[in-house]
Amino acid sequence: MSTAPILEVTGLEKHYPVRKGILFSREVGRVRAVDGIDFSIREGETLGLVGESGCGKTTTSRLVLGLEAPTAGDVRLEGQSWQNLTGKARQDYHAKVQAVFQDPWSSLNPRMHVGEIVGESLRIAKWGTRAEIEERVAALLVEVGLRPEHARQYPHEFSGGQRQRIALASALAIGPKLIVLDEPVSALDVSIRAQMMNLLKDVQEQDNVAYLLVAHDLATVRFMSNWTAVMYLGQIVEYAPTEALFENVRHPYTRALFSAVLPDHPDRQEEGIVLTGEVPSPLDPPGGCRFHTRCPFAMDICSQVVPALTESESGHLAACHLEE
Amino acid sequence: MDSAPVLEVRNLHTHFFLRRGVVKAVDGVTFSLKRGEVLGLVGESGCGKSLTALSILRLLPQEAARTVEGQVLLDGEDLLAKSAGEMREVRGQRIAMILQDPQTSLNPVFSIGNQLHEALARRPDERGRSLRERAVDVLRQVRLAAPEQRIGQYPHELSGGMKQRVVGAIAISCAPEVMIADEPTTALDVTIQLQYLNLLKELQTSLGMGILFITHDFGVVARMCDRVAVMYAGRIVETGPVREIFDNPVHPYTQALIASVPKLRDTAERLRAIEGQPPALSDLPVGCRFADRCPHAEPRCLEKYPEAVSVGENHTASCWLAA
Amino acid sequence: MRRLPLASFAIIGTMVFVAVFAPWLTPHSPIDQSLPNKLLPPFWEEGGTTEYLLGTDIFGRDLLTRLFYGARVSLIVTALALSVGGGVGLVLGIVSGYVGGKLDAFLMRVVDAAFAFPTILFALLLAVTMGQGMDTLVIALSLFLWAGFARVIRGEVLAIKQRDFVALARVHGSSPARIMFIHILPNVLNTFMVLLTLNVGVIIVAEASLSFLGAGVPPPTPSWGLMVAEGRGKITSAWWLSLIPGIAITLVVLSFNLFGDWLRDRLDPKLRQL
Repeated sequence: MSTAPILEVTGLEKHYPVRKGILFSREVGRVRAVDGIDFSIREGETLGLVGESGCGKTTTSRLVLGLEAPTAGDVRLEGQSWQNLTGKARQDYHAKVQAVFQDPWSSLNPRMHVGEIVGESLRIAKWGTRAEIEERVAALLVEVGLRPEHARQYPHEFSGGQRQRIALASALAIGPKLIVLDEPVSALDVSIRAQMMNLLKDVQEQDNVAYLLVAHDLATVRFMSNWTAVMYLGQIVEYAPTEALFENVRHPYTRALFSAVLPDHPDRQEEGIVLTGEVPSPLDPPGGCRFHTRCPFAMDICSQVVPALTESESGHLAACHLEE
Repeated sequence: MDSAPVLEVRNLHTHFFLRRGVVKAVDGVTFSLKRGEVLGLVGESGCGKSLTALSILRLLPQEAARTVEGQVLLDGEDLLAKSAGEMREVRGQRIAMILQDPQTSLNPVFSIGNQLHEALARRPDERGRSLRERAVDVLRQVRLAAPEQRIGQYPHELSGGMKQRVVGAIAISCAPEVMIADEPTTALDVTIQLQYLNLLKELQTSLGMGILFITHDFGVVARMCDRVAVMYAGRIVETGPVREIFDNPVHPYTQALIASVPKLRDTAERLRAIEGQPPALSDLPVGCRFADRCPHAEPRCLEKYPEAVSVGENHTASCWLAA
Repeated sequence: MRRLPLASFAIIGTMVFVAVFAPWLTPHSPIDQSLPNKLLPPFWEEGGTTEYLLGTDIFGRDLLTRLFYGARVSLIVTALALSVGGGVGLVLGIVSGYVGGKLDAFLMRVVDAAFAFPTILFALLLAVTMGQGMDTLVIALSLFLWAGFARVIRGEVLAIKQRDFVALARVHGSSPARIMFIHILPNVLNTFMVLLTLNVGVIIVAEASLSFLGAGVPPPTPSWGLMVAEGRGKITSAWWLSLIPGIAITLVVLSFNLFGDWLRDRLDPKLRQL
């Protein structure tokens, strides 16, 4: 498909210190939200980041967006790490990576009309004259399936699906290389989801923009992404081209996720691993393989040695001792 | 399976009377739920499915909402004709409810045990056990690990999945005849969702309850339900056994809804989306409410609402194409 | 939804009208003394005349005229104190809530200190050192007002800050100043408006109290609080001197409070706890 990576994430960590004490606070522990992950996304491609709540996928997206600073590791967009940038260069970085969040009721400023929301990044970047920006906003609204007249209306006049389209138009405005999609359809109604997913695909094709898709739903990830990474407790446990992963699941946790997918027909239910118990606290993750406390195949070695990501076939990585 | 319906809803109308007009959120809903059966009430947000549940329990959300017509029969008794005091007996004892958000379903200032005692105390125990023993027993029934310890804990000490189990324990504590589950797993993670659905299925079998399962997710329907009622813009458009609905959906809305969900085992390039938006409930068309989004719409669809017709065994649909 | 408080609107409207058009509404001067006409009762009492509808004070000045001009003083003081105190509170509240951290902790401790501050004593002290006057009054009242505004606005900003559009503004590359004043400010204006109206009553009472105590507007400028003070010695023989301005204060404050309640419900039901 395409060439060099747009986004490279290496050794990324985000720890939140937990402090105790009132006068002399000391660190009593660290929540290891993201704990050493690597991935990359190429131009015009989509990486799906899957996992359950608390696995660190949303923190990862915030690190990529530059909303939070990593504890260690690097996020490089076209070879540049945003932490080293200041002023104009920092603004250029922001122009390359945009976002669409889950909740369309929270992501549009209720006091701005749609034209202002969509044109905001253009105004910040002093992209053009007022008339040029208005023209671009109108074109963007058409691109996402709305009408130019909608620019003068306020967010509360729109339904959830339409608001998510506005959010997408706003993300596209500055012509980013990468858009972080954090659960972009899960707040939408079923009949609206398909419209939005098709639109995201169309936009990708037209603008050649890359997506980092954060999702919990495997079917959505399969539909949208070229690559899939599965996260568990702050780490990537399996990382592969989507088709390879869906044909041949290697990690037991991924298999459990597949087993948890609800059937598309009453006579079909994925059989396999039904997990018991809950995800351990990221404040004190289990030693060795983090999944060993819930894994039905756990061996002695699993609680002692951290499994490395190993490649089985081209590009299919999994971190599991069973595979060695 | 006992075939007598335990809950029957007939021609239920619940409207919001607002200054700007009447919003017909529930507009003629009819269905029945048998003992030991799981009926899925499926639809999108705003279709009136949650309001239907609240109308059954007579817990309407605002002063402006009123049930203006219809009957809700529990074992043949009309709940809409009962006094407020009699209704309190029904709620929690004969009909229990599980809501979507476990965070707000439990009172944060009372311990788990306390909240269970509240529910258990309303029904005397035939075996003369203490409230505490009964509470532990109910928590064991919902497979909450270490119930003896949990009883003294507060909601914030539990995870979302555990909280929803406690909500389930409160719901079954009085051995209700009917349970209404309003999207009980939407707020849970996928692996936890599966555990919880398995639990509900188990409880339903052991207690013989009828469950009215409200959801927007056909996956949940496939997993849980015996029969399905599909709701659109305040009315039920299709009802039938779950396999019939999946194999042979008749109403174009049901067809489109099933087709629009991405499949795990599918490598489609595009999804079959339903274009447009549902109609405004304050300004409903006279004809079929799905007509303007329907690929098969004909002139007669716009003129008159299609009555429900039988399209198979226990399978009805409100569509002119099926008539 | 609560009904529009028409009586409040009418009273507030009347007050603004008489304050603005006072010189054209009455033939009398609010300051010039006319001793032959001193202590005339209102027209409906025995000895009252229709020339002095609400009677005259000990210097023979028309009470109605002084009431009109007093409304002027009250409105000017209120408007100035609210713009200064409310404005400072608004800006500090937004900055404190958005920036957070040490700055927030510091500003909120200053707010606590301001609440603990003896405003009336401070106003008296100011009056002694700087001299009585409208400027002294406005400074004292602003110092009293800003902390309440800052605290409420900060709370509001803390909630707004969590919303996704603020994160998106950062993703778009907005500077903190742009986020605070382009994105967040419009979202707290409703709250700000409600705070303004609810504080009008507080300020009018405070102005009257300070004037009553002699730390407000210096005589002979008419102020409602001063009028009550001047009449208090004659309350048994000439009740109208104190009572009529007292009634005016009560009606206006009540009207502003009812109006504020209505506005709060109208703009944001969330704010009921204020």
